[in-house]
Amino acid sequence: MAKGNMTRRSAESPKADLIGCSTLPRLCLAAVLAMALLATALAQECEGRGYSPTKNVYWGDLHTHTAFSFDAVTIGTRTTPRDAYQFAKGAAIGLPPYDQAGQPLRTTQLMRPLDFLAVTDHSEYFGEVRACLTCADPGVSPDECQNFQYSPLVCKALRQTVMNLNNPDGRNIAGALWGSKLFQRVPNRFPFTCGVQVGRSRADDIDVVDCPSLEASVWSEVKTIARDAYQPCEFTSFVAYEWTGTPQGNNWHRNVIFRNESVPGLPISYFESPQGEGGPVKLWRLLERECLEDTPGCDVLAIPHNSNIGLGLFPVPKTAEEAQTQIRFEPLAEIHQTKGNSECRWGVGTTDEECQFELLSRKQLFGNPVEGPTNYQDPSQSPMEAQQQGFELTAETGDTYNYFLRESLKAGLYLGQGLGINPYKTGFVGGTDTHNSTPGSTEEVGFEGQHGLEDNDIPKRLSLATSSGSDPAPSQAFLENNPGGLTAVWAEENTRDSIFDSLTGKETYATSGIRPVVRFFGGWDYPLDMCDQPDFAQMGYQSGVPMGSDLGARPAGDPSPRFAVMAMKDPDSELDARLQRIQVVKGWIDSQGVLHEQVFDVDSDPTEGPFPAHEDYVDLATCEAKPDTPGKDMLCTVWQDPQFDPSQSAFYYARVLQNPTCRWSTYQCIQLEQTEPENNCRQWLATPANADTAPGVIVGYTIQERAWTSAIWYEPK
Amino acid sequence: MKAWTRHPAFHFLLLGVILCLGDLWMSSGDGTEPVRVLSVGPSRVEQLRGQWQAQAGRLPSAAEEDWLIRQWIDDELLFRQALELDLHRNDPGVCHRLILNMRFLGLDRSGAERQDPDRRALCRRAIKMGLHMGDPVVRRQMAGLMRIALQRSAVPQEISQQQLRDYVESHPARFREPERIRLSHVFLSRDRRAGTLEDDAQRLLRRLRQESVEPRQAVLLGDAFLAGHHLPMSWQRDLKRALGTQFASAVMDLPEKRWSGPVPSSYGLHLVWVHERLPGRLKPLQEVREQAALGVEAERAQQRLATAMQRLREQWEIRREED
Repeated sequence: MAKGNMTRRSAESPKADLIGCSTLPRLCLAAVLAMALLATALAQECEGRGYSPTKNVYWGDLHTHTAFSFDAVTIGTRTTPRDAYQFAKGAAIGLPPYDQAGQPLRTTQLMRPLDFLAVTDHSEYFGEVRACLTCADPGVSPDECQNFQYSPLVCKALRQTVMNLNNPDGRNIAGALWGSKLFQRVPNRFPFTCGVQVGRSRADDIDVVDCPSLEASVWSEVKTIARDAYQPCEFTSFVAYEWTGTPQGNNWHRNVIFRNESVPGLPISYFESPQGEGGPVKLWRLLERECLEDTPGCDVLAIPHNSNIGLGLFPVPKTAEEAQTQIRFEPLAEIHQTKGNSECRWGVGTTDEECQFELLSRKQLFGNPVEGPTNYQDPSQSPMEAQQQGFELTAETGDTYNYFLRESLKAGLYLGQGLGINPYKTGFVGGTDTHNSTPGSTEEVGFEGQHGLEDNDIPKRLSLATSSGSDPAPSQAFLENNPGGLTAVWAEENTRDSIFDSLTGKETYATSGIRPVVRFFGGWDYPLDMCDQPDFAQMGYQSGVPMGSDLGARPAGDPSPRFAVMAMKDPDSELDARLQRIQVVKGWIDSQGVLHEQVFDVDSDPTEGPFPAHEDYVDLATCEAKPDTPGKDMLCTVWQDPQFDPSQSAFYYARVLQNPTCRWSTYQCIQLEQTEPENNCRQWLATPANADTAPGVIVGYTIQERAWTSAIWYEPK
Repeated sequence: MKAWTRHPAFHFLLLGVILCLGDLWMSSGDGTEPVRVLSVGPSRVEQLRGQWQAQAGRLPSAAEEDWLIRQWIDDELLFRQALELDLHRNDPGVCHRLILNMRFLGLDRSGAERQDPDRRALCRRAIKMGLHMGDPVVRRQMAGLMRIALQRSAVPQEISQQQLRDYVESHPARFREPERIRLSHVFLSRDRRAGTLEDDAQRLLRRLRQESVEPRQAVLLGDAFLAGHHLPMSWQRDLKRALGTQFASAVMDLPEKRWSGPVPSSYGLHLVWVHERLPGRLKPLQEVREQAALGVEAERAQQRLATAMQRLREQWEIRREED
C-alpha cells in the first residue's frame, strides 16, 4: 500500500468524542440549543442586504474544473480556482490556446454573473499533478525531476503534454494514462510518484514524493481561495472536490460539497474508496468519520452526476440503516450538464415525448454508441417487475433505474416500501462540468466548448473537416455535448449556511442553462385562484411545502393533493424566448408493486396540444424567432391530481418547457457556412441519426430549454 | 527524528535565527563591499537549453530561453546567499534529500538509518562531503527557503488603522458595496394586454399620480406579478435576477416617493415607486478588517522580496559570456 494512505490514517484527528453526545448529554443539549440560537441569528445576517423570509432564487454552478484537475491541465487549461471565482463574479477569463508570451488567444465572460459556486476539481492526483508540474515550470531543473527518485514515465508524460499542448503537433499523452487508473476496480496510486519505490529489501525502499503533504497543500489552497472568494450576502463559495470513481468506464462520480471551511485535512479520492471496497458507500463512511465525527463544525453532501453514463451509480441499500446513510449524504443528483441529460430517455421505461433532450448515444463515460434505446434493458421487463419473479435488484443488474433519474425516483418508491426508507429521494441540480474554469457558461449562442483544446473551435465542436469535400464524421463526444446546466436554489439569503441548508432540504431546481423563476408548492387546500393573489410565495409556504419536501399529513375529508406551480420566463433570455408549458410528472407504485408514471400538461400556451412543430417557432436559416408564435411570459396554475390514491406512494415534480430555439450547433453551423460556404455541416446536422459514422446520435436543429424542480413526495401513513 | 525537532517552538526558534541572520545580512549591504561575479557561459546556456528540451521534447523559444537564464541567475544568487547563512544545516527537507542520496550511493552502512540520531549524523556526513552543493533538489529547496526568509520581516510590523483604511480605499473594486433601493411596482402584463399595454400603462400612471395612490393600494390596480410587487432592499444585481437587465438598469436613478414609468421589462410594463435609497459605500473597516490585513501583508511581502532581490542582484556582476 502506498505510503500516502498510511500517512492519511495517522493524520486523523483523535478528538472524535470531544463533544460526543453519548458522554455528555446535558452539555450536548446546551450546545445544540446554543447552535440553534446562533443559527437563527446567522440566518438573518443579510437583513437589508437581500434577506427575504419567502426566499430568493440564487443561481449557481456546483460542477467546475480548473487547472487543478489532471484532466483539465492536460487539455491546455491554465486558469485556477481563483480565476473561476472571478469569472463567476463577472470577470473575463482566458481560454486556451495560449501564444508564446503566455497570452490566451480566446477570452470569454458571463453576461450575467452567478450567485454561488463550488469549484470541484478531481481530488485524485492533487498531489501528483503538483509534484509533476512543479517540474514543468520553466526554470525548474529537469534534473531534479528526472532524477532517480522520480518516475521518468508518468510524470514526464504529464509534463510533456502540458508543455507542448499549444504546439501544433502536441498531443495529450497523459490524460488517458492518468485517467485509466480510475477505471480499475481497486487502483493504486502510481508507485513511483507518490509513495514508496520498492527496493531490493525493505531497507532499500525509497520515499519518493511526499504526496499527502503536497495534496494537503493543494487542498489548503482550495480552501484559501474559496475563503477569499466568499462575500456573505453577495457571493457564496463552497469548498469542494470531485470524487472520480469510474469502474469499468461507468461514471460513478460525485461532487463533494462542504458547508463551510471546517473540512478534513485531506480530500477523499477514489484511491481511498475504490469499487472493490464499496465505492460510494466507502466514500460516505469516510466522510462520516473524517468530517461529521472528527472535524468539529464539518457538514457535507455528495452529489452524483451523469447517471446517463453511470451504470451502478446508485448503490442498492439492503437495510433501512444503509438507506438512511445514502439519503443523508446524497439528497441531490445532477440532472443536466455538458455531457448530456439524465432525466429520462424515450423508450427506456417511458414513452414521454419530451424525453429526447440532449441525450448521449453512449452508456459509459467513454463508450461506443448504443444505437437507440433498445440496448438498454427491455423496459417491459423492468427490474421491479422482474424482482417479483425472483430477480435480485443490484446496482449492476438494475439497468434502467440506474441510467435515468426519473427511473431511480420510481425505484426509490419500490425500495422504500421494503426498507421503510426511500433511499432515492433525491432533488435536482444542474451544472456545467466545465474543464475551462468557466462556471455558468451555459449560453447556446457563442458556446466556446467546455474542454480546453479538445473543442476550442467550431470544426472541433461540430467535428467537421473545415474545407475538404470528403465525408466528415461527427464525433459522438463533442457534437452531442451541450453548454451545460445551472442550479437554482431558493434560500433566505446569499450565505453559505442559508444556501447549504436549501441544498440539503432539496429546495432546488435545475435548468438546461436558462434562468426562469420557478416555484412549486404542494399542499391540500391551496385556493384555486392562488395565481391571482399578490402573495403567491407566502401562501405557498403557509399552506403547504416547497419543492424537495414531503407532503404534510393528509387532512380529514379525503382530499387529493394540490400543487401550486408558477414559472416566469428567463428575464434576459436570448431571443426573448417565452414559455410553452408547465408539466407535472407523477410517478407512483400500485398495490401490486408495479411502478407507473404520467406526465400532465398543467398550464401552457396554446392551452392545449398538439403544440406547433419546432420549425414553426424558429427560422432555421437564421435561427431567429418567427413572429407571432404562441408562448407566455408567465405560466401559473393550481393543479389537483385527478387520480390520487391515498394508499399509493408517489412523487410529483414540475418541468417547465421554453419555446423552441436553435441548438448551439445550429448557430455555429450557420457561422461556419458564412466563412466556408462549401462545407456541409447542415447536411450532417439534419441526418445524424442515420449517418453510418455516428449511429445513435440524435442531435437536432432545435431544442426546448427547460427547468426541472425537485419533487414533492407523498407517502401513505 | 527526535520529538523536539518537530515541536513548533523549535521551528519558530529556527526561523528566528534565519530572520536575524537575514536582517544582519541586509543591513550590512551598504554598497561598499566588493561586487562579486557570476558568469553565465555558453555551456550553462546550452545546459539549460538541453534540460528544457529533455522536458518538453523541443528547444525553448527565445523568450523562454531568456526566462530560463534569468530564473537560473536568481536561483543561483539565492542559493549562494542561503549557503552563506547555513540554511542547509537544519532544514528537514534538505536533510531528507541528502539521506536519500547517501543511501542511493551506498554510504549509509549504519544499518539503523531510520533512527533519528543516525539520520542526523548521516545528514551531517553528507554535508561534510559536499553533497548539498551538487544536488539540484537541495539547491532549489535552499533558494526557496531564502525567498521565504526575504519575504518575511525581521521584526513583525504592526498594521495601523490608517494603513488598513488606505488599502481598502485603494482597492475600491474589491471593497465597494453598490447602491441599494427598495421599491414597489404596479405591473401590466404583456401576456394579458397585448394591444393596449402602452395605453393602459399611461392611463394608470396618470391616475396614480393624480390620486396619489399609495403603493399598497396601487398594485391591486395592475396585474398579478408572481415574483411579488414589494421588493426588499435590493442591489441592482438582485433586480436583474428578478426582473431582467432592462428593468434593473432603468430604475436605479428614479426619484424617490413618487410614481415613475412606465419602465419596460421582458414581462411588460411597470409603474415604479422608490421607497428609499441607500447610497453605495466603501465597506466599513470592521466588516473587512481581516481581508484588508491579509492584503496589506501580501503586498508587503511582495515588496520586501522585490527589494531584497534587487539588492542581491546589485551585489553581483552578472557576466553573460558569448562564445
